[in-house]
Amino acid sequence: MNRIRSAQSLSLFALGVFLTSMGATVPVEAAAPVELLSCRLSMPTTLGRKEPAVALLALRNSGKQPIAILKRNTPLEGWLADSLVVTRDDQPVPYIGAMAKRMPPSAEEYLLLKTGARRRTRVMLQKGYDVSLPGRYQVHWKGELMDVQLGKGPVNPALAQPQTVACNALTFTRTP
Amino acid sequence: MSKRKWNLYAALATLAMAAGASVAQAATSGRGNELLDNSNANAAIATSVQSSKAYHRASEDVVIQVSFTNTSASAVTVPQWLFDADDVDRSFLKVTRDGVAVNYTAALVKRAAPTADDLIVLSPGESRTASYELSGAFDLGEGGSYAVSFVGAAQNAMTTQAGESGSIVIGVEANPFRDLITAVDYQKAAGAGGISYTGKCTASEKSSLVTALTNAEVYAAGAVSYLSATPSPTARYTTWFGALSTANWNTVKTHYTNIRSVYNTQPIVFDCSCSKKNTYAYVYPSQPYKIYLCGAFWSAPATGTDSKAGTLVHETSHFTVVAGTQDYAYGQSAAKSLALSNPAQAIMNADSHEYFAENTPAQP
Repeated sequence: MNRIRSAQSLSLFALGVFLTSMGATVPVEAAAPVELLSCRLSMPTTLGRKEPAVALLALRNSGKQPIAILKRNTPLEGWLADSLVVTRDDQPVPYIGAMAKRMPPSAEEYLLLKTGARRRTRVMLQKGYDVSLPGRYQVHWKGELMDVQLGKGPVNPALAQPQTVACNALTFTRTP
Repeated sequence: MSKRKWNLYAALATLAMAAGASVAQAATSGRGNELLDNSNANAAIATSVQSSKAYHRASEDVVIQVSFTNTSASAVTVPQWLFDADDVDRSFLKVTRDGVAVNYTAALVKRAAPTADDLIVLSPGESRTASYELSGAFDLGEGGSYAVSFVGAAQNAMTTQAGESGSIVIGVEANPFRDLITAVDYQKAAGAGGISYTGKCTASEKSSLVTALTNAEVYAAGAVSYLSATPSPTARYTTWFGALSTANWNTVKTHYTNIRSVYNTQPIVFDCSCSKKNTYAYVYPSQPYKIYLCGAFWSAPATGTDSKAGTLVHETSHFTVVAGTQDYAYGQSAAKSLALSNPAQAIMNADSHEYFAENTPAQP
């Protein structure tokens, strides 16, 4: 009960800050919509030699407002940015996906999460990083979101609110 | 348009001809920048040249329109390729500056005899208009006033039944890179390792890419030259890369040195198969030096903000062996914010490299 109430007040506070920020030029740092997002990255802890490495990225809106997230350059849209930190036996694994120069985003590039809604996305790791070799891997999403808005995603790039969502790191081992 | 209207139009056209005026002028009187053709009254097809703009900035395409009007009493045909925006041959246009013909730099195409599919029928009185971009086909770099007319192409008999048009005069800003470009060994600028193409690059796309690469080399060389000065918090540097630190300045300088080196020494591959409209281009940073061009690239200006040349600088900076930049922020507004909030990311952001190189609007 306590927890719910605190989430409510947080959401109201975030909304207030967000509305205030619409008129201001300074980006909001505290109690932004992103704090109403919970993120979890998961996958099996052991993979066979040729098993594909597929992680599940779950995002949940625990606020009282719909949240629109720009999927651009996140694992939510495939591999158009080096958005993960991947290591194998503590050595960095380089990004092998693409990087693109793009025009301002359209509404279709936003993921809309209703209140309480959760979205799970399959992330095909091997298409962005070479995770084929045996070893102990650690995978961490940097959580950088180019725009997060309460309500339906606006498309005025000048009003974009970059945010960073905290997400857990995961580890898995690929057996020889 | 109804048949009756066409007949009326044809009748008016005939009257106009009889009065010694031009059909094209009669049809479009009131538009600026148009002159009439009197030079070939016997031709079945009257031509006239128009431009919606009197003056073109150096970074802009120079587009003119040519109207082809059947002034005869019977149907005539014109080749379809005259209306094909992707066609590379523009040799049927004549461009002069101070009375001297301007160098034609695009292709001369010798064509097989056209089949019925390759022809467009113009009914009596019917008119069709084609648009042609001049800066890719004529050397307009010197800038000034250019006279443009349709003259037909000797190697294409099909164009000769169209009469020569009168000429219009358009103004073009001098290309600020002109001196630099002519100083650069053209082959070298186009990649000492050569350029190759995959994935359906059309001839006009290839031509556009060679120009873009040449301009990108000028951008990279300009940035290296600028950053070879003693580090100081100039407006240009701090706008795109944030608060000055000597280490950051030198990092960025190394990036541009590497980018320029790619253009001068490495084999470059362009792929034109991507048609995504909201994407300019992409690369696989781990696979130098292949650049994939997408829909937005082709409508970008040659130089200036978010231009073709700048996009190549952006993409080249992504290659891990060059600068290994990321896309932390897209667009000038976000890139400026990034410079203020996070210089460490700004010096590793691809668009920031592009905008610094483009330097549009120019900052000292």
